[in-house]
Amino acid sequence: MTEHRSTPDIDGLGDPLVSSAYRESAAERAPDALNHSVMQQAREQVRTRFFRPVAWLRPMAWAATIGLSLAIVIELSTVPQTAFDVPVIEIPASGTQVLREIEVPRRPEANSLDANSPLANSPETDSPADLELTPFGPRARKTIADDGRVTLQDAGSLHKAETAVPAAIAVPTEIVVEEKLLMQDRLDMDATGAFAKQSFSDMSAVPCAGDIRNLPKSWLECIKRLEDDGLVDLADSEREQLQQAFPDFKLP
Amino acid sequence: MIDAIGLNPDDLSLSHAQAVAYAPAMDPHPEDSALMLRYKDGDVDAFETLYRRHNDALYRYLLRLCRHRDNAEDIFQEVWGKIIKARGRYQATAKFTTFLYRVAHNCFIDHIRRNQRHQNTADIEPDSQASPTDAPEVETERSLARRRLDAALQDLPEEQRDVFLLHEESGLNLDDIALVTGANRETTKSRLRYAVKKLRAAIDEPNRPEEEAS
Repeated sequence: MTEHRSTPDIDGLGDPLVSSAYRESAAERAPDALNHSVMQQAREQVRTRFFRPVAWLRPMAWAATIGLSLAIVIELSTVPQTAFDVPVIEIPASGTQVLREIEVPRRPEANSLDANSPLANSPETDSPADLELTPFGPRARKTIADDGRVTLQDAGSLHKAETAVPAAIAVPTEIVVEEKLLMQDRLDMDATGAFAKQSFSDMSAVPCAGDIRNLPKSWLECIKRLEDDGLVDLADSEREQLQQAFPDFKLP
Repeated sequence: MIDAIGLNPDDLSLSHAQAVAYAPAMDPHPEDSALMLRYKDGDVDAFETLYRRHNDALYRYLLRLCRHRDNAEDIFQEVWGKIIKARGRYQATAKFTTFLYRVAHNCFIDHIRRNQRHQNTADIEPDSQASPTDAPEVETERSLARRRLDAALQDLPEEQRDVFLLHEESGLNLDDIALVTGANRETTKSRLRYAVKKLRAAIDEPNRPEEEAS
């Protein structure tokens, strides 16, 4: 670049002769290497500035991806398996027998059930219509005992009671099917899975049924076994039934 | 300054009247501050224009201030590096030339403090502009005058040389030179006056005996 230098003597302090001599003397120009270096630096700085967000976004994008993946994995690990898989229920032989007997339609036998039978008014024979249904299944059931006491039975014990129906009691097939559907709904809709697991563990308790009830002693042993399993409500119910079936037998 | 950058005074006054800090890209003669603001926004061409306006003058200023070519080139790069890095914080509150030479002045001071290589002996040769139309006697006389001026310039105290070079190369007025050097206006004025007086005496020195004889 050709430069014509003529610095005006703004403050009147300069000397035209000195200025002229100086300008003739000082005619150096910045070397091309320096010019190239400075311009290169200027370009790199601009490039760096405009690419900086991209360089900053890349690790951020990676971190966000990893974080989202971890969140999904953690979320999936907290979802109960029962929500997807229907667990296989292993029921002991006696329990299987009970269920099989329940599932068999016995309408004629139900009709022939003696109204005076001590089990006829048992709370366990209440219609499922008494169940207080919630979006997550039956919550509790109001039970009115013979002595007028009103008790609320929670869902766990209710389930136990329903599965512990003695074989001698004929239950209509519709009721059994409805109860099974309710149970399935409860399993499907249980969000935590804990309730479902508890219910199935309770089902594994052997109810006192069949030949066991023939003798008060064996029935009592069954009741004790229920108590040992923590099925107190069921044991109490069995104990009442035992007392009604064998009034002369003295319960310990 | 106005002529140096090829500006019409009318255009300059119009530009000042409008007080436009950020000149549009289509302006054929944008101000330094506008170019710097455009470079701040990523316009490298604007910086190149700005650089071409000031690179040679700044180079000569540093070359004669340092009196060593290598040092001058180092400081030259350092100055422009700082200007480039400071573009994000640049605000058109003062003249860009004042800003540029203040950075250069400070870099020179830092260089002296940091590097003890600053010597009193000069290693630069004056790069004179010879006019082919001049007669040999006239050219010889001018060449001698330039040599004497250059020698006198190197002999000036650093403050006086600094002020004189700023006055000649940057085109700044006394107030701006005072701003660059950090001295007050009167001190700057005094330094410039002494510098010019000594340089004029050096140029006239061989004529003095003749004048006295006549």
